[in-house]
Amino acid sequence: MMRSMAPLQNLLRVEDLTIEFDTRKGLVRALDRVSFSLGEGETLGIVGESGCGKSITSLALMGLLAPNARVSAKHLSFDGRELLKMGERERQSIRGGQMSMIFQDPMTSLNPAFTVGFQLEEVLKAHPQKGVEPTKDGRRKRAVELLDQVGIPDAARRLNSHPHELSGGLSQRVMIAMAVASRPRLLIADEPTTALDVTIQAQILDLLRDLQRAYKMALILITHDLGVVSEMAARTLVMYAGQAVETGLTAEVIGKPRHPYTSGLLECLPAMHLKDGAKSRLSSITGLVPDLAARPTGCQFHPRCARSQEPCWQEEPSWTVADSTVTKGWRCHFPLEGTK
Amino acid sequence: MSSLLDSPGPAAAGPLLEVRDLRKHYPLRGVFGTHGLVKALDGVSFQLAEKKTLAVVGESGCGKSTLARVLLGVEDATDGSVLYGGAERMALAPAERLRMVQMIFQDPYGSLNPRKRAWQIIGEPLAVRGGLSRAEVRKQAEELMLKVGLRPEYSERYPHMFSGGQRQRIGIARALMLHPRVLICDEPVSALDVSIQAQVLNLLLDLQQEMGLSYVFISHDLSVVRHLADDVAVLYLGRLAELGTRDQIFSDPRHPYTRVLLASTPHIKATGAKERAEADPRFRGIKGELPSPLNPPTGCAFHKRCPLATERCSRELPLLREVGGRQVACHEAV
Repeated sequence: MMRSMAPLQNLLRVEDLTIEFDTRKGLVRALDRVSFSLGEGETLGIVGESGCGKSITSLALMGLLAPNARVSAKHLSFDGRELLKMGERERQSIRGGQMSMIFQDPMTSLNPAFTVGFQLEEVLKAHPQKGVEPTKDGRRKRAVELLDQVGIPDAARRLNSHPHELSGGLSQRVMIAMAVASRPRLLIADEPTTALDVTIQAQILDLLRDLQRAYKMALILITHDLGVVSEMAARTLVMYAGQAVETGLTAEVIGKPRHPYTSGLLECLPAMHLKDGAKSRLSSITGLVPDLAARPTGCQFHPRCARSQEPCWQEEPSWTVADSTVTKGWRCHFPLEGTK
Repeated sequence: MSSLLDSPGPAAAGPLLEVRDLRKHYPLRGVFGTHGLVKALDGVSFQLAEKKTLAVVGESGCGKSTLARVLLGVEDATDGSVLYGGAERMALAPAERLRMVQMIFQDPYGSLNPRKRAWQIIGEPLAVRGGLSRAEVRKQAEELMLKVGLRPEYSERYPHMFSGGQRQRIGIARALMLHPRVLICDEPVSALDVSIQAQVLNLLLDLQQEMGLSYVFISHDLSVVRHLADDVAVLYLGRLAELGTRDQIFSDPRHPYTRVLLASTPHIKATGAKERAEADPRFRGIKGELPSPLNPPTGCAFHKRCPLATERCSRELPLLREVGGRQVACHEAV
């Protein structure tokens, strides 16, 4: 599973991505100088609790944010091209083409008024493919292939189904088929299995892994479930209150967390308390995620952090880079020693 | 720990909650009359002892929520019986019933009246019972707020002014107002973030200790169940697949469906590496989905997805039998 440490050709490069929203409460900074990069075929897991900026990040990459969002970045480049400097037409050719996305709720992400086949063929019409004849029959043939590939039984008949006739698992498969129809180089999956049962979740994760191999695509997997990240992603980015707080190889982030938030998040999980026996008290992080319109000073995590002391209250910790070969770093004045 | 299968000691006067052969069938009515039957629960039996937790696990559509509704009395059973303290639920006086069993809900957003203040929501059961002044109801509600970790100063606030975790605490306080003995928890933490989830689970554990509560804990999250259950019931399409103690179910599952559930749950490598390596690959990523309850397969409802299925499984419905000290409904389980 683990990839070699050799520097990868960067497919996606995000540097100091900041997103602010103009609201009645004033300017709210939802994402604060987030940086990460992704190589061809690589998988990055982005984890954090609700409101930490996971979904906003993916919407910014896709260019799907609301009009009152102000996006700025030192770099936001895909395949060497700056996304923020592109015109809308060029952006559109990438969105849903080389870069595509699947969403958390498959039931509401499909248009209820059209058949599965119509919606799939629409993608193929918008993003013509090599090897797919640009005719109705050609697209239809490819649509059947795609449904077949995502494991939908009786694919040819299913093309005529409307979304309400499909279960949650089947709907998510259709969403995935639509997302990979254009042979994207980057797939962003935002909580793709959260709404699904565990047996179906296992099927969908296996499917994503197979497709990733088949299409050699990079994957950004956004989830709140550290178990899913642990199984799927070679690298992980942990977010808190719109900031990246820790990143590194998944095994290291989970095995030897440096940021107190990462460690706290892990300690909350019942699975981490197996050796303490049943009905033991779980560790929990006290307090709540800060209101983004009234951020604390200093480190964003300090009001909830047991290790916080003088500089944490006033001074924002800078991003510490562990070494230069792999992207590994954290944002903390007093990182944990990395022994757990 | 094995409250379920041990013969009751001399002190215990039978289980607090006993469910015998419970059935809940919904007829499907169309323009031309009834044309089918959904068997949401079909012959479910279990017991819950005092101060214990029985977890009910299974996928959506397996009958978990129907079970909760029937136990609470929101729906009447088609057949079978629900006994609280040895007495039929319906034979109890209405006030007695309310003191016996209460429920907390999955969605802390949808289950609180947005137009009422926190103390009114929590005190509502008292107000409904009557006989207390407004001030007295409010005083008791505020006392309970303190107990579930909410600041009594917030009693004037409306639900939208609380966070998800705090709202779930309001729901818990409301359920505890009449001091019930059994609390039905329907996915109480699945809508919450992990850090908040841990806080609420700790609260439930503390309250069980303090107030001697028994829980029927409905959940799809096996790691949560493993943490706080004494006994576990695995449901599949309205029938029990396996019923045993926590350790039996998690360390030595015998029903293939239980094994599939365990193998499908993503593990964190740092903790779960060993368990996962032991998990039989046959049970990982099985094909297919839960069959339609309208048209369930013949024989064992699981046979079409089961890695162990034989020809017999497609013909003959497996009945619960004892295997390795627990109840399993499978022809092939050994």
